[in-house]
Amino acid sequence: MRFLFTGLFLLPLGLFLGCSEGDQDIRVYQLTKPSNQPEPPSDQAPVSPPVNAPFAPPAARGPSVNPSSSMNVLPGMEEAAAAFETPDWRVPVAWESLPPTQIRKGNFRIVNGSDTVEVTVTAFPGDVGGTEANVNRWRRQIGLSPLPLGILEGQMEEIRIDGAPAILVKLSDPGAPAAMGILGAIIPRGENTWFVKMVGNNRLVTAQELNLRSFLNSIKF
Amino acid sequence: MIRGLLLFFTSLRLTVVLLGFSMALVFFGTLDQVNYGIHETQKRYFESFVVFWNPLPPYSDSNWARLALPLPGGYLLGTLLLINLVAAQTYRFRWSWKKSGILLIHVGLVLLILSEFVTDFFAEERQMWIDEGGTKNWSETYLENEIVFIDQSDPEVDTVYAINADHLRAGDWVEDERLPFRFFVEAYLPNATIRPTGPEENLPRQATQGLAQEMGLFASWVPETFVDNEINADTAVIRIFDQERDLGSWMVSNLLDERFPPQQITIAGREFELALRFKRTYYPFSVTLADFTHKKYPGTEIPKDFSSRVIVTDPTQNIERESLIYMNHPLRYDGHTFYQASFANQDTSSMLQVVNNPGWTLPYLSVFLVGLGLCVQFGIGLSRSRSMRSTQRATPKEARA
Repeated sequence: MRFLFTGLFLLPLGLFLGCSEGDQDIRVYQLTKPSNQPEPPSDQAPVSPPVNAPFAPPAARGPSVNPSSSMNVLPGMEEAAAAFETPDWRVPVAWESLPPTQIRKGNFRIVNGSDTVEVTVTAFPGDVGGTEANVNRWRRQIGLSPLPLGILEGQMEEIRIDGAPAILVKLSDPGAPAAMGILGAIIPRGENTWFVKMVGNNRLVTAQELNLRSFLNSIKF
Repeated sequence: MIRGLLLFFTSLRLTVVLLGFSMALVFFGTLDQVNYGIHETQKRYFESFVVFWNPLPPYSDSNWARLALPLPGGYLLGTLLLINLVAAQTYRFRWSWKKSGILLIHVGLVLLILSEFVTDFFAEERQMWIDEGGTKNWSETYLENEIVFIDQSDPEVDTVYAINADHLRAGDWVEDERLPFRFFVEAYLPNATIRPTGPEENLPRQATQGLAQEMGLFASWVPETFVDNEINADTAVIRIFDQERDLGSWMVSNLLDERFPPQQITIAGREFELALRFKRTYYPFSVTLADFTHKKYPGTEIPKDFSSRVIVTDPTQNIERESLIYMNHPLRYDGHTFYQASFANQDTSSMLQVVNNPGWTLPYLSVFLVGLGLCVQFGIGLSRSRSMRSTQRATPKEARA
C-alpha cells in the first residue's frame, strides 16, 4: 500500500521535472506542399480576430468566399487606405455591390447557384514587394507553389488601365477538388499600387472574365 | 527533523489551511478575471507557485500598484495537498476492510489532483476555421505565437522550423543544432502597433531587411491586452546569421499575415519563408466543411441552433467519415474532440474548437471512485449497525434463558 501512495506522490514530481516545455521550444516538421495536397490551400489564414479589438460579432463580418478575405486591419493601414481616392468605375450588372470595408475601396460579389466569386479593389503604398511577390502571394492563396518571375511572366498579360500599363494574371489549380481561381490585375499608379482581385470558384471566375475586363476598362483614376 | 516534517505533512491542520488558501485563491482569482480575463487568470493563479493579487488594473500608474497580497499558487497548493493526503494515508491510516471505503475516497481525490496536473501539462485547445467547401489539416491558438522558417527548396515538401516565440525576450540568442541558422532577438514586443512611416518622420529604422525595410514600417509598444476575445500583436525584430554571416535584421509580427507578401530569406543557398504567426498544430488527417447551418428563431435574429457537417479524411487509416457537429455533440477523432464554437462570413465559415486532453477520463474515474468509496463506507457502516442491533436483540433472550 505504501508503494502505491509513494508512487502517486512521485507522479506529479515527475510531471514537473520531466514535462517542462523546453523540448517544445523548437519543433521541426515536414509538410507536403499545398499544391500536392488533395485539398484547397492549407496555408489560407483563418478568419482572424481584429488585433487590439474585440472579436467582431459574426453578423458584422464582411461576406466572403475565402477566409483570407476577412482581413484584420493593420494599424495605419486604414488611414493609408482612406487617403487613396476611389477611382470611378462601372460595375457590371451581374455583380452585387457590397459595402466597402476599412481597406477595400471596392467590394463585390457574384453568385451563380452554388458558385460564389468575390471581387475586391485595394490600394497600398509602394510596390508591396513587387510583381513576383504579389503574384506568388495570390498563388499561395489558391494552393499553388510560388514560381520565379521568369515563369510567371508566361501567365501574365500586359494590359492598359486608364491609359497606364498594368498586369492581368490568371491563376487556377485544376487539380484541386473544389477548384479555386484568381483573376487579378496589378495596377501601378504613381508611388502606389492598386489591386483588383477576383477570387472564388474557378468555373465562375472564368465565366466572369469578360465582366472583369470590362470593369478594368471602366476604371478612371 | 524527519519526524517533525512527517508530523507537519500528515497534519490535518495543514489540510484545513491548504483548503482555506484554495478557497482564497479561487476568490481572488475570480476577482482578477475582470482585469486579466480567464486565460491569464488561470495561468497566474492556478498554473503558478506564487501569485500576487492587487485590485488595480494592469499597467496602473498608481503607487498602490506596488502593494500586493501574496498567495500560494495552484501548483504549490495542489502539490502540498497531494503530499498531505498521500503522507497521511501512508503513515496514519491503518488498513482494514472496515476502512476500504475511505481508502477508495482518498484514491479518488489523489486521482482528481493528478488529473489537473495531467490536463495542465498535456491538454491542448485550439481553433480551426473552415469555409464551406474548404479543407483544413491544422488548427491554431491565438494565445501562443511561433517564429517559423519554412524551407521551400524541396519541390515536394516544406520543412518547417518553428520556434516558440512567447518565451523570447530582447537579447536572447536562438541557436540549436536542429536549426540551419541562428538569430538574435533585437526587440520583442508582446503587443504592438505597426504603421507605415511618413516621409517627414525621422524615425529610426528598426529592420534592415524584409517588409519593414521595403514598406517603411515602424512598430511601437502598446500594453498587452488580457481581455478575452482580444489578441496581442506579438512583434519581434530578429537579426539572422548564417553561421557567422550577418543576414540583416527582419521584423516579424502576427500582424504581417497573408495580406502581405511573404518574407523570403536565403540561408546557405536555400530559400526560406520567414514569419511570426499564431502557433499551429498539424494533423495527419484533414477536415472538410461540407455544410454549415445556422437556424434562428422565427421572426428574430436570435440563434436557435448552428451545426457543421464535416468530412474527416485520414489517408493514413484509409478513413473518410462524415459527421454532424452541433451544440453538445462534438466529433471525437484520433484523440481530438471537435466542438462547434463559432461562425462567420454570413454563415459560410465555421470555427471548431479542437481539444486534445489525454487525461479527460481521469476526473470521471476519480468521481466514480469517490462515489464508490462513499457507498462502500456507508454500506459497511449500515451493515455494522444492523449486526450490532441484532446482537443487542439476541442478548436479552439469552439472558432470559
